[in-house]
Amino acid sequence: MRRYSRAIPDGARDLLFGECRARRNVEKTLVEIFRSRGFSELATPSLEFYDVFAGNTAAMDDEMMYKLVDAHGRILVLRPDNTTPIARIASTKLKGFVPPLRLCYNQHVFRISRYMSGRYDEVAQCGIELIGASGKKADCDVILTAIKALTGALGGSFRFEIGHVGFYRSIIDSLPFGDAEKEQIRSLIASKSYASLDTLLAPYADKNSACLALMELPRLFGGKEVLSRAEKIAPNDAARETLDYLSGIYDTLCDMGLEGNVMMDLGLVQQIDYYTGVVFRGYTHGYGEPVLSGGRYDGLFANFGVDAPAAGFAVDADAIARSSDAGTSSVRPDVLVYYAKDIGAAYAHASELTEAGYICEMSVSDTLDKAEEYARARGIHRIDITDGGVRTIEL
Amino acid sequence: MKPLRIALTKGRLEKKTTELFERAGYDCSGLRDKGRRLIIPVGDGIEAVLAKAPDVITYVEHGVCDVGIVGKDTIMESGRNFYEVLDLGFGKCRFALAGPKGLDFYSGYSARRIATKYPHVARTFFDSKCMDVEIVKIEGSVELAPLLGLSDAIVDIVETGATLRENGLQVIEDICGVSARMIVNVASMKLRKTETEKLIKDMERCLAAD
Repeated sequence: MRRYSRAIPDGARDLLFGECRARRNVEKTLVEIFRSRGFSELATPSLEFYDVFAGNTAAMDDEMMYKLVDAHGRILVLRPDNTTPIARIASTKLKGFVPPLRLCYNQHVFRISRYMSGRYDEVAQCGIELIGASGKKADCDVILTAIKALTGALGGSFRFEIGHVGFYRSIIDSLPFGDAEKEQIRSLIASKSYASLDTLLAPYADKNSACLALMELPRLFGGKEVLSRAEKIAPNDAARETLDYLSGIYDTLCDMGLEGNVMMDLGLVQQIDYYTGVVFRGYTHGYGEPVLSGGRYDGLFANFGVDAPAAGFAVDADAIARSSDAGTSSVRPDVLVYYAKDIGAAYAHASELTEAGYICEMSVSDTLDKAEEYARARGIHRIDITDGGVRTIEL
Repeated sequence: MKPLRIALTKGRLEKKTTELFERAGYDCSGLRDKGRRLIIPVGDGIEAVLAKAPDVITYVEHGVCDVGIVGKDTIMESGRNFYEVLDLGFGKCRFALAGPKGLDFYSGYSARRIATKYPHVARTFFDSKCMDVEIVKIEGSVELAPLLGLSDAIVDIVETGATLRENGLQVIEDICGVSARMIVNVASMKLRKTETEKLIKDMERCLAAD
């Protein structure tokens, strides 16, 4: 026997019965929500050229991409991300579209995770992209669709956080740091390393309001109080404009009764080269990472030769399915239908049952005894025998 | 409400961590007398687990523990995705490149061989110097490798340098300082903001008083 013939690769998994049903339900719920808001679904190939994903602002590390070589020696990757292929389509096949373009997807991404880290390499993602629109109305639409998606898939038990990379950017750009220092500061803010950031910036902080604001940035998360504090420390007009914009969105969400689920984090600077405006994430209890993430990325399309603003998000359908209690049992039929000769009558009866809402399985046993034995083993409590009128046995 | 769960690093950092929590006013009698229990209540609404350093990171990254206390050395080697909120100031030591006394490490053209318990840290360090070195992972007593002739030098954590000196080794170059850190799961920081913030504030107050 070949060594791996009965195994699956690291980071892969089989979904049986309840788990599979749970994921399908989540996907169905999300796609329905997206469709109901005017987003059209598309599907892109699992295999794409490496060049699509390399060297643009969404680029991920080479170490994370599964690569193959095609018949002509060209490098292919298993799709590591859903937004980039959609940007490729929007800037080629859909070039000249009437904006805004509303697209959604329900397909997997593949990323190589660290060996034995307990993470999955194949992730079911459902998400949307709103292309060719910017401003408060567009951002609100994407954010409200994201909140609707979480509400639909999780009920009310989630936390949604919003930030804006413009606040950080307007501060850091006003300071004379080099690229390496900026990256170090950004990374300390992203990881909320309060103490290390203080140590790094302390020598410059004296009388420099921009430095003091940076030092406070990772702590600026929470509710309304975050905005009033941020307004006090905002060192320049660009930062104040960003705050006005963000507080407009936050107030809108609060007015819509979402205050209990929504918070702000001005220290969301994780993918600063990719996101250009609002950024947001969704969390739920029982899952240690964001189950939803997204934001505005107006720079991505420039990689494909088109100048279009865009925003969107992706939901990790697997994570949401795992956090719901789906059970693991297979489908158990209500009725087993057995026939000796008259196949037509048997299937006619089965159709009546399924139309009435029963789950109905046709027996493939040769004798009634064997059919009964099977029904007992499977835990089916009723057999309908359809030869010469229907006779029911309750087990 | 589920208690806030904290993963503490066993061994070197354990005593200092317990002292810090006590000074911050948390009841640590369970930690002082833990018996065979694996999950130990600490004060009200908090429970602690003791784990090996890399496991602390794993538990916090996956969110099965909300908070962790772990050395920067382990974070640099295996850490990725969590908030690293506080430098607790104890467990201080440094990463260093060390080799036999008198070795001119940077001379010559042949690639050097480095033994280390921290291959990722060593790789990052030499990458930053654009040096191609051969890295050999060793599980314990790394100082032995150059003595036996397996490697030219080592990358390891150095506290006083006494072990190095006793074995005829010396520091060639310091890489960076390390100390104990408090880390927080990204989702816990947002979903349990009040509790994690209180814990961070309590610790900060204690550290500021030192």
